[in-house]
Amino acid sequence: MVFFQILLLGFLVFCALAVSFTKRIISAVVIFMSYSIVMSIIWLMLESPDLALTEAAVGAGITSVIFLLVIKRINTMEEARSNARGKK
Amino acid sequence: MPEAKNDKNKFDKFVNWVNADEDISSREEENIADDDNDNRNDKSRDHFDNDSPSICDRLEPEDFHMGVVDEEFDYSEMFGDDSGRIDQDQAAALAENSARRVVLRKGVRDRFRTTQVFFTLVSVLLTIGIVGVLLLALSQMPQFGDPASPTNNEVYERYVQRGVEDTGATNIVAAIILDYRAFDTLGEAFVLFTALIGVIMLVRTSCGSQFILVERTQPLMLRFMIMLISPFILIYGIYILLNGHLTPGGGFSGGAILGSALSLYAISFGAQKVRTLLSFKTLLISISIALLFYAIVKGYSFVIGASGLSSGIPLGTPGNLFSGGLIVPLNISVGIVVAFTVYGLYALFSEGEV
Repeated sequence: MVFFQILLLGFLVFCALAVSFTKRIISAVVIFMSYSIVMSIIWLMLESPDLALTEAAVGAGITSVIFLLVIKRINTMEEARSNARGKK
Repeated sequence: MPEAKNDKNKFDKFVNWVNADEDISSREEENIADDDNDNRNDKSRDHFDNDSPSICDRLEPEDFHMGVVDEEFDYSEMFGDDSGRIDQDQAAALAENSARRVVLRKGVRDRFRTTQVFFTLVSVLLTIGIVGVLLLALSQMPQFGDPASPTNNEVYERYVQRGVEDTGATNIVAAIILDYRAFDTLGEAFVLFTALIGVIMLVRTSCGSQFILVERTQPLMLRFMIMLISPFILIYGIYILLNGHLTPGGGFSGGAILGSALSLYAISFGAQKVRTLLSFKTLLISISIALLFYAIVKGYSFVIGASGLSSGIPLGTPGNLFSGGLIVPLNISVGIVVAFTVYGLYALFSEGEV
């Protein structure tokens, strides 16, 4: 059990570092999602299932959806800009 | 006022530059239509449903530049070339200004590099310092589950020992956040509502998004899977919402799950399908009713603190679905606020319209 906890915590630190060192934004969002999932497992082991539920629903679900949405929008705007410039 | 005149000239030039596009004729048509539509638009902007066709239907994504000035634009047009219209002093001042501008551009690259190195160093040092302080503080904390920990005080004892008796909820977390400390949750719900209102003010336009996302049809497999899964996600969210006083969960997590189920459905089938069920009007009115209900029922606890008043609703047998007095309706109202806020944020960011 202690080994499992250390594994999870190590993965957490790894995720936190990897988010800041990833070049691609989409992979950063996916790593952030996995961070939230592992965090919710840790909350469960700390005997707070309420927090675990909220972490999984908000951290891994909604935040990532909004991040991905913003990335999609930025890409669309850049495409539109480059199209407009290409026409000229 | 020569300076004001000069400013006006610059502004006119800028406006001319903005309007000078490849299709000037259609642009002028749009301008005329814009003048005609102005009053109508302003009026219809205040209403919830706007069916009148407006200028926005004809706009393409490339019409919006997000305030980023194109590189092709010649700045000298704005600052240097209009010396014929202004007197000599100002022309000299403008020439000096543009000369300084050129010098600045030469030196800017070197200075940018030094500041970049400086700020990288500062941010790394700051991060290391903050991490060190936090780890130091963490090492001073009591062990997890330590009986001598200062959190084991009379408040904790009261909540654990008399919680079920006082509130009728077997989930002590729900008892605390919706009964003893109901004002905290009220504040959180209002924070979410304020965030939604802010996003509506910033993003929502009378005619949908300014940046129209290209509607791509999602793959058949994805639509089929989401059609299968989303009822179960909805039922799971409702289960968590309604059992908040018995098992872990409650308004926030259940509402978040419901909201993400709605967003998932909107991603795969388009927001139009969700809009038939949940229009902008319905969304705002239900959020407001839920908040108003919460504020009326528990607003008094801002004044009298955590001691609470008896609601008059019988607490029932702890462990039953219908027990816990006001906790179930409060959970439902918080869930409505959270779910609709989450869906509203998604819809506003993706389409500019709920």
